[in-house]
Amino acid sequence: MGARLEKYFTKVLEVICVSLLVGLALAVIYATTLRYLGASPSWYDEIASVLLAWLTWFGAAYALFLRQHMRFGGFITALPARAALFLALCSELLVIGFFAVVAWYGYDVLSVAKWDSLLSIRWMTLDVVQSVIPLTAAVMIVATILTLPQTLKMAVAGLDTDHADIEQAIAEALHKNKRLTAEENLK
Amino acid sequence: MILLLTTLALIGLILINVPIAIAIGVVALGGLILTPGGATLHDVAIALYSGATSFPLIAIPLFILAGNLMNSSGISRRLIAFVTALIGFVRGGLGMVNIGVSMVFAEISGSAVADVAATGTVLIPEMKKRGYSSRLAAALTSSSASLAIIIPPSIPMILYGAMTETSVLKLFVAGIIPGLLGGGLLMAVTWVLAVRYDLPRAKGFDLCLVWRSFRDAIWALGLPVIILGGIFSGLVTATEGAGLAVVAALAIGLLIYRDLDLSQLRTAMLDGVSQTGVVMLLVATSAALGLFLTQAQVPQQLTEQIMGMTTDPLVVLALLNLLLFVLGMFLHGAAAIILVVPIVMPLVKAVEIDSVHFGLMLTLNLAIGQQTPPVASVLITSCSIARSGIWETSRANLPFVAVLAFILLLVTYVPEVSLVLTGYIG
Repeated sequence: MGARLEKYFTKVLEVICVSLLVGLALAVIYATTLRYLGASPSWYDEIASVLLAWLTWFGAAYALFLRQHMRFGGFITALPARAALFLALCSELLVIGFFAVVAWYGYDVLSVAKWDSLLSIRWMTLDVVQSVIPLTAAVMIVATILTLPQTLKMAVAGLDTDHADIEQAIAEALHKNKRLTAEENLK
Repeated sequence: MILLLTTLALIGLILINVPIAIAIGVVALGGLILTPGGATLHDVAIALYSGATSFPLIAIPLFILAGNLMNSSGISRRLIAFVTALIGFVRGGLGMVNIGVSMVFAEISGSAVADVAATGTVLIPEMKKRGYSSRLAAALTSSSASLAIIIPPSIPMILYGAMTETSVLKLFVAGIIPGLLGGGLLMAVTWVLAVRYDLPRAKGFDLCLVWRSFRDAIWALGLPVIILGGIFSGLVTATEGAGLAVVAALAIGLLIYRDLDLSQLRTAMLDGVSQTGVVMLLVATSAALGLFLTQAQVPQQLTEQIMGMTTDPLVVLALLNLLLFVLGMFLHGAAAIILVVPIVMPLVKAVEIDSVHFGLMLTLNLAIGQQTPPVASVLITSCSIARSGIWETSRANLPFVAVLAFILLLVTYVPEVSLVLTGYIG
């Protein structure tokens, strides 16, 4: 159940994040082209900044599902299993607590933000734009809860996410090298 | 006192494995609750949003995407083949190839680990096959990849530029001379070691091979020329240059080399969004920390205390180097920039240190920090590929780290080395 839910959330976040990244890249390329044609779009700075903020927060939620945020695991992994388990649990509770506060106050400010709007798109009110904060904070709470069993398992086993990331990056690079060599041989 | 408590709280949270970005946010929340002042938790929510809307930072996801596309399209392999044909005939040539390719290629995406993995998995096994010890191959790869942090385009420089409102273009230009000088010195050290350990030449010089590999690599070589040439000449801004990099990397990968397919494109984009999320969450939570630090007047107090002891810029530069070196040992690059810049910037301004000069010092310290355990992701990646121990590799790495330290001292105390070229741009 948990694994299926995690997979579902990850897939939805993938679609949102890739759409935002493509949107941001297209906005920059379009505005650069128009600048050379002597007609810079007036919405560019504001909309690109909004897209960046949305990409930041949805990207951060996606990275949390993948457990890719920068951490220092060297201390916990050096501890006995029981102490590591306890501290890992404290750490995850702090993460949940932080995002709970962010979600609560992020939601609370929307009632004020709704009276203002973007300068370049007047009908787009700021509560819609800033809703990314409570929304993704809630998603990050879900991410932390869903990945909690894996986190605790790694803490007990003395495994460090940094090392897991490094091993994965090397495995991916080796796989790419093998594929490119095979393709070159075919050519 | 507040700075000490803040530091201790951060260290404690980081030690118990709270993600660094979130540890910064927790400290900011706690600090604002405990210290009297005007800022509320509603302001934190607003700062977390507005902190991620800084326009110059738009270059970050785009450069990261371009770097991932290049990683996927065999560009590193073509560069390696060309540089090997060009300088492989020199004694220790393969080591020099490693330095040359790393300087062009490394630090191009948001993940130093992925970049080192891309070049290291090709070059380190080849170096071992030709008689280089595992530790030497790993040390060389690690140090040359870290030096690339000051060679544009550099994500840490964009971060620093956005945080301090320093021209990213000037920071990029300031990195050119120290970067080339460092690369040249690393090659010289490699040659000395190659003579001492009697390491072989990679292959004889063959003009036809140089020409063939050059033709094959011409687009890979042209990519940085187009992007950086566009930025340096003022034709495009750093953000527009990042957009241009994405278009160029796509065109080369899809239409010219045809090594990119849809599945790799998808992977490159997904890696890009998660790397962007990691770096940018740090930026967002640092805006909340900034709110707390300003309310508690921590940067002002630190500036007053240090100015009370000395106003000599040379001594202040030495103190800053020491602080950055220690931080670099324990924090990843982006996290170190985000934590240290808001605190020390008033001091830097008070003793009239040029912000471009300090930016370069900061990034060079981070380069050295990537070589010093316990947090040394580039070194650890190189060691994993080479299957060498971290401590024995660190010993082999000493001459290369000495080069990085020499460049740092040169940049610190002879500002002209980094600033001379910035005088030529507006």
